[in-house]
Amino acid sequence: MIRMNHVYKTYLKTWPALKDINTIINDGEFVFLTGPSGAGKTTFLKLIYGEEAPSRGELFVQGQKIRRLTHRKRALLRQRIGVVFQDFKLIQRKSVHENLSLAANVVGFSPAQADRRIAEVLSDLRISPKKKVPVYQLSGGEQQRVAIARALVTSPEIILADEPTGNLDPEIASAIMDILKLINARGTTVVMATHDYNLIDRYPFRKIHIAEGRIDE
Amino acid sequence: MNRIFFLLRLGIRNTFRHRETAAPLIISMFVLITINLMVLSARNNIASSLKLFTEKAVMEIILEKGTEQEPIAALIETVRNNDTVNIDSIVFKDETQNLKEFIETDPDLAAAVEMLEQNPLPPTVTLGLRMTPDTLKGIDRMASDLRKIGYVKEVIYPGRWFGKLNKGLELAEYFFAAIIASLLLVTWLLWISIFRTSIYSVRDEIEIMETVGGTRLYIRTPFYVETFIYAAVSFSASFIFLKSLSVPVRGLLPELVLLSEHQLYISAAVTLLLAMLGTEKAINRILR
Repeated sequence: MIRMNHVYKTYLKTWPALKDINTIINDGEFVFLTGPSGAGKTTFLKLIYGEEAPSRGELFVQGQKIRRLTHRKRALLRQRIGVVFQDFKLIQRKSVHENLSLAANVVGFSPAQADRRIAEVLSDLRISPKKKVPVYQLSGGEQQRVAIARALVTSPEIILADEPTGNLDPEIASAIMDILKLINARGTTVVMATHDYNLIDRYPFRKIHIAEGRIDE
Repeated sequence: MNRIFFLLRLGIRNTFRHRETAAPLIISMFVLITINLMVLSARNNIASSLKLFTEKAVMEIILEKGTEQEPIAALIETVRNNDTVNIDSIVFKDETQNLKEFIETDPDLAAAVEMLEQNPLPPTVTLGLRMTPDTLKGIDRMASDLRKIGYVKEVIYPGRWFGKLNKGLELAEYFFAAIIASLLLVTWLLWISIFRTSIYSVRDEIEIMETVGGTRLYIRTPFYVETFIYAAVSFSASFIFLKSLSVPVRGLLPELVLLSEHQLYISAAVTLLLAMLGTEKAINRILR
């Protein structure tokens, strides 16, 4: 569960990115985080995976208070959260398998366990044939699938997706949404930031709208 | 265990991957470590040559002419039983023996002495002692006590001169320490600059490791492995170079003192520590 009580995030002491955010995202929920560019969606996600700490207020993720986390505890919490970025953030020169095994190793999988889990995830996302291909040889849609696969390989409890369909054409965006829907159906909480209203309207999930740093539901 | 092997492998792979920055890093380290070890050897040789010189120092006790055997024996007994100064040898020479030795130094002196009606030389007691900075105070005290004895005319030893030499040595120690410290600082700064270039090329990997939940130690371990390899190669190269250089130099200067095993271990440990601290500083620029 993710719980925010009067959360503020201010950059450079004067520039408020988020103001008085109060919300609860329950386990197993699929939530769209909507709003125009610069509204504070990315900051919202960054607070959840501990990339940023709230300036004020309380934020609990899976029972852990984000503001008080040590480096080690923050790392361990991140092992329970999968993050998907708009620009994929994959290591271009490495193969799909190498990108995924980096994440698998962080959580302590043995090479055999990692291979098994990677094969499973790649099969789910239908990119198994690309396993040994360097990432730079893949299309945008394929790279986004690999990014999702990397987020999934550690079997996280929460998936945070920051504009995962932003760079993709509608057909591939739809396929990515189907994958996220499937992940959610298996019990994983999904928080997806997007400003693609055509996409949002096609799905019956809860929407948290952010405008000028405030929740506007 | 799997994680450790994975990180070790990653560190070794990084070493090959960063070979373009590794080459200038290892060469620079080799030069700096070699200079440092040479400075350390030079310091050892100054200290050891001074030790060699002062170990052969003597104290000459000049007695009044005509001093009887009994007080001389008492004086020797007192000197032998003192517990502050290490006495290596005690040699007593009477007036006749001193004159004989004096004449033997130059045949012309014999003729000159014959013209004198009496032996001008006094009896002496010569003490061979170990003069080190630690024992100098005791030697001064002993000389002062001896001077108070009625039949002791003079006590001669190179105490003042040795004191000055010792002060000079202390200054030289500071000088060497300053040079070594400066070289270590340069080594550290150079390490940070070059290693940062290596890390910069894998910053995307570091960022991803952080995002997927790598702990600080986990992320740093491959770089520590890489650092250890570079530091070990640089230090070994310096050591082998100095060792091979020492063979012909020792042929020319057999008294030359090289680094002790203890100093070598400390130098290796300091090199490794500096490299690790440099790496840590370089990583901190990228990791948050």
